[in-house]
Amino acid sequence: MIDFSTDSDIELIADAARRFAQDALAPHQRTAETARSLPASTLEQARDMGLDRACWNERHGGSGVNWAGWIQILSELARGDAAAAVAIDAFGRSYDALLQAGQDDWIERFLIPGGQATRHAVVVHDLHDVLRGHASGRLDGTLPWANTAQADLVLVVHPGGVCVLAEGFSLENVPGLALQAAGASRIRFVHAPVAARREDPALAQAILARARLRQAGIMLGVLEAASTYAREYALQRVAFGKPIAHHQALAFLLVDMNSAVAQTRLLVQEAACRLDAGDTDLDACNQAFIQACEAGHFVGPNAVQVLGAAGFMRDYPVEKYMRELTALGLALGGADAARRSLCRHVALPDAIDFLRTVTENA
Amino acid sequence: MDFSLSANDRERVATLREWGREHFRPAGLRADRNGAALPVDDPFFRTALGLGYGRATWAPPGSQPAPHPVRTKSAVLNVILAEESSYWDRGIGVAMPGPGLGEAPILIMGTEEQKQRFLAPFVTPDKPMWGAFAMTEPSGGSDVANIRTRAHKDGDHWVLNGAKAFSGNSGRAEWIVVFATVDPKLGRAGHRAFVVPRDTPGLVGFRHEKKMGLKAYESTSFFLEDCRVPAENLLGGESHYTQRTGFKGAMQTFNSGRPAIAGMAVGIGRAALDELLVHVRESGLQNDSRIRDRIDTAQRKLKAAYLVALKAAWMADQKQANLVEASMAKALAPVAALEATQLGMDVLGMTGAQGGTLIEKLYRDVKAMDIVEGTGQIQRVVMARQLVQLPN
Repeated sequence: MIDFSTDSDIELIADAARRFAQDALAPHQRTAETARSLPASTLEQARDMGLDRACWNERHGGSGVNWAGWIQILSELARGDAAAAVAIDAFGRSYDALLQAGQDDWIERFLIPGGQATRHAVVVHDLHDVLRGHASGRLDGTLPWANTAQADLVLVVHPGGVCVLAEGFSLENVPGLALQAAGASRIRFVHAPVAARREDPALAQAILARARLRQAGIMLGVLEAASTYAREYALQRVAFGKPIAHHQALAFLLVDMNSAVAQTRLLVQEAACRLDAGDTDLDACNQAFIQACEAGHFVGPNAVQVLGAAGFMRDYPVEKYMRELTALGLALGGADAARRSLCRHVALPDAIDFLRTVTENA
Repeated sequence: MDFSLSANDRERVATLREWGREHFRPAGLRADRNGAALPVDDPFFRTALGLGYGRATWAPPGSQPAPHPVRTKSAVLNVILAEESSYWDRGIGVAMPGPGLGEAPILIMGTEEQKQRFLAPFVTPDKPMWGAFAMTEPSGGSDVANIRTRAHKDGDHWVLNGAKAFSGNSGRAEWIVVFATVDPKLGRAGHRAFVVPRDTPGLVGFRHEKKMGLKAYESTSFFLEDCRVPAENLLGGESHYTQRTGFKGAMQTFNSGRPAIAGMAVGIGRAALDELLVHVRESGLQNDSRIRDRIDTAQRKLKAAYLVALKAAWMADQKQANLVEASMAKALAPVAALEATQLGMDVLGMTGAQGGTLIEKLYRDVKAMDIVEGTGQIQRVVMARQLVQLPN
């Protein structure tokens, strides 16, 4: 039954995330970007709120928030600071990837050894298979950019499968286009021993698709922030005797930006609901990510455009939003990689059915 | 949050699908090939009556209306049914007998006596009959505040003078709901809606417009020349307009239609994609990544527009203000659907250009969806008024 209402429990958590984002994240986002890290107190507050493990299963000490709920929370966090959303989501992202790849065994072995979640786990996507040595059990090569400043466990998702590494890698700071507060590092693997692995291309695609949905949730928050900021600015800025928002060229642009955000939100929500319903067909996740990337290409630069020269300056957040939207897309290969996923792994359907049910899929 | 159809809704869609395959698409293709609307005595309309079309959604007090195949109390379900129905043929959807677009203003503005008088014949009709709605004029469509058709009171009659255009089924209708103004200076406050019976003197000059697509139904222009309408045909009576709800009533008619129109556009786009999938398979193009990518993109855009339409409809069902969402759906869906049909034409190439294929018909049909009930540009104006208070 079509229903767009949000579960009241999720709404409560999302409200708390919204307040945290606006009170603790947004005011300090520039400082954190410059410092290339989030204040320890901010991360501590996030942990106190249970955000780090919110989407972990209850049996592993999490809150069991479902996909629809977590996506909403992520977008709220990203409205305050996308880098903080990335940093907080890293816990859930590594949990989901490990659970998909190795079920409880890998969670207990790698993420919460001895029941304590002490490890800083990072998931990286080697989309172009640049790392060598999967077969020999030792990895060599360099991944140019990951949103982290530290890692003591790396889960490499490559086209052929997944492998886990606990040593043999090092991180070097890189300038980064955006999201520096979450860390920006090059990861170098030198004969790094693989602690565990699964060769399964479908599994790798599934982990990637689910990660793309999380990323789309973060991008949604940035899209909302950019669109709203540009609109509010355009209502205050006066040119030729009236607010610039009242010149139709800009009014239509702002409307189209709003529509792009709304479409992204619905595709992200729909994909999340499919995962919650146990749908194994992950093309909706890839579709949501492509939509977020395309919306990012439209909304980010145009938010800067609406502000004109002011938008180009770091005094305003829109240039940051623009960089973040591009960086968030590129972190998982961008829209083109997701398009390739759809073409390569999803069979051409017999007929289009937008609302086919999970049961029908099965 | 839930994006799946209920079992009941799925059943209704399945029934509509069966009818569409068996009746709607063949009738639509026949009209398109003949280049003319289905005549009033076409056997298809008798069939449609048997399927439950042609009836009002209204019923006399104390009785329940018979379920209508595509008009329900749920705006969400109406979008879903509109999408499926248009998948098979949008022109047939307009051509269907029944009170049509004229019913909504009667329900919203009409008195109980007027509902009885004009809608009772449609409760259990024994032959196909039509009602019609005429707001648009040759000088403009969406700017309803500036309609030019004049109405003035003369004794116990109203006298109407003006011209109406692009009105579906007017030429075959038992009555037409005509919007006019008592004084253009009053703007919206001057609006009045009249039910004008077909045989009213002064209702003249009917001309069937020649359309690019959607040929199954008659689009008609006509004139009102000193057309005398009994005072009791003024919808809602004088008191309704002293409360200044006349225009609001008209706008309600428009707003309630936008998500459904969006659904219709999506249906046409989906039909084009499905037909394209058949062609792609038959031509061995299924592994052409460029075509696959374009199909995926078209599918995603249609799906996004459809979700916006469903959200707008859901908000209407929840009695939430949905002006932005309704206009957004109406602005997005026809463009996405046109892109899907254009893709079909691109892949068909010369075969598409030679005419006579379903995709070519859909390509001609779909453009209307970006025009009816307010163009995409008008929808942006509506949204801009809400989002950035764009002045009128």
